[in-house]
Amino acid sequence: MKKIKISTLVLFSGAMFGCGGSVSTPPVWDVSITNDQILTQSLIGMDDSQITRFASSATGQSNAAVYSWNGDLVSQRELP
Amino acid sequence: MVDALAVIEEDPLVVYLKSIEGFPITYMSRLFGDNYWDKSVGIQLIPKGINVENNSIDLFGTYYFSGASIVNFDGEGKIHWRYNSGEKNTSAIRSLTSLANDRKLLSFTTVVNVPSMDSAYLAQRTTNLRHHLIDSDGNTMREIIEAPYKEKVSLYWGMHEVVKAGITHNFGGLINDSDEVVLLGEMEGEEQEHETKLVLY
Repeated sequence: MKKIKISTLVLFSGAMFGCGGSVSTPPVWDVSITNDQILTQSLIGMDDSQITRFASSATGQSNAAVYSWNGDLVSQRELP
Repeated sequence: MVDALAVIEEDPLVVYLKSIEGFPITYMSRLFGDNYWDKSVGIQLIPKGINVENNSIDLFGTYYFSGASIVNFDGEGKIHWRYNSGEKNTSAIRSLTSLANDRKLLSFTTVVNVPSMDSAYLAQRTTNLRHHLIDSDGNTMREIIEAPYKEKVSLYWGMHEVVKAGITHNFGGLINDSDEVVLLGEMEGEEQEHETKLVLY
């Protein structure tokens, strides 16, 4: 009887928090990038092995950084 | 009033709400040419936008009964499938992104308020940025919830306290051949101002 009550509580809590019974995928890796005053940024896939992030700041500076799908920074440069 | 616009094979697509006996009903029309059609999508779908890929049309928006939704049409106006997130009432749709391999990424926000135990605050608010990876037939492949942003809020204007830093804005995503998804987001918090996160799921 106690088990039923706990299960009900878990289900109720899950519904309250919008879980809906679904399972969210946990992250494999994450990279933190500290940037001041970023205005816009976007991602472009170069091919199946590289990811490029473009960022522009409010001061007009832009840069591009290339990452592998393993999360390693391959190269980066300021854009003219 | 036109709520969303797109082009398919050089014909305009328009989405609009029509009030019938007080009920707002969403319609989509393909205008001009020999392919003219006008289709009712149903009540209480608040349109956000249209994506067109080849001969496939995705109308996406917030559906009153189930949250973030997609209605998929072909170029002749036939509805092939509907996708509903299941997050009733509390969803705020952000975007629908077309990815490689005929995948789609539906992004939306859900907000949950629970009473706060702290007398200075009325509630603790959790904002979740959610992403559903969907295949070309409208089936869920994966659900992703980014790091939740939690804050305590009070009735007094501007009075809030960040409890946990989290992702508050998404700048897009990519997918590779292994269906791994990388997301670019902005993290907010008391000590994490202006921090960008690149996360692989």
